[in-house]
Amino acid sequence: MKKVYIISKLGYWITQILTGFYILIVVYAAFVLGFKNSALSIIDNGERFQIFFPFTKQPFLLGFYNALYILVRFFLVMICYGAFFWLLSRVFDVFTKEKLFTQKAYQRLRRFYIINLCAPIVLLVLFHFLFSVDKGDTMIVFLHMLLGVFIFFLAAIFKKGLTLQENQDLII
Amino acid sequence: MAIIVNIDIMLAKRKMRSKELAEKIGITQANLSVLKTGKAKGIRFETLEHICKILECQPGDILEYTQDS
Repeated sequence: MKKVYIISKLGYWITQILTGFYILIVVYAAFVLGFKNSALSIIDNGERFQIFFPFTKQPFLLGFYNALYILVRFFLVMICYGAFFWLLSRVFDVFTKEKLFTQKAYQRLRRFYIINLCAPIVLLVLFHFLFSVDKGDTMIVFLHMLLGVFIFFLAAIFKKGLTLQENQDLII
Repeated sequence: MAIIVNIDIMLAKRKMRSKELAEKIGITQANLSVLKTGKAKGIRFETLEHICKILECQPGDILEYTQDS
């Protein structure tokens, strides 16, 4: 269990940092695009935008310069990945606890698999109608769904474990 | 439930409090309460042995079978 604890604690902190990273990107990009300051550069005859790393001229973020693209393909995806890493950190946190099979742990796994099974499909359909969908998008959706199915089975094991744990707690 | 736990009767006979018994057995008062109220799914031989030893009784004095109505 020590190995599980170390790996899950490491996973927890990495995913927490990634969540913070995505939040920072969203806030920074919103600030730059909103105020159109010096960190923003419009290229390709106003078709694309470039956001530089803060206080540098090093390109950091790149995208098409139109409102729909920026809102859906850029911000919505960033926010979704922020949420994904936050939910993943909650799943890692489950394995750092002394008591594994709890209602809280099951709820966290359940939330994670529902999001992984539903959100990518919704986004793919949205992208299909608003923009174009490439092979890479389909592959990412497939991988998220695979992860969702895997976590679905893990949640089922946790539900069984929870019942056994409750019974065990009632044996004095 | 068909099995009735008569710890309260034995406690009264021995003039002992639940808290004292729980401490001597090494279980929480909450768990002893679960046992007394019949909410427990089972009892370990180890716990039963401790109860019998402390209350100076037999398992039959603690557990009683009654027909479900």
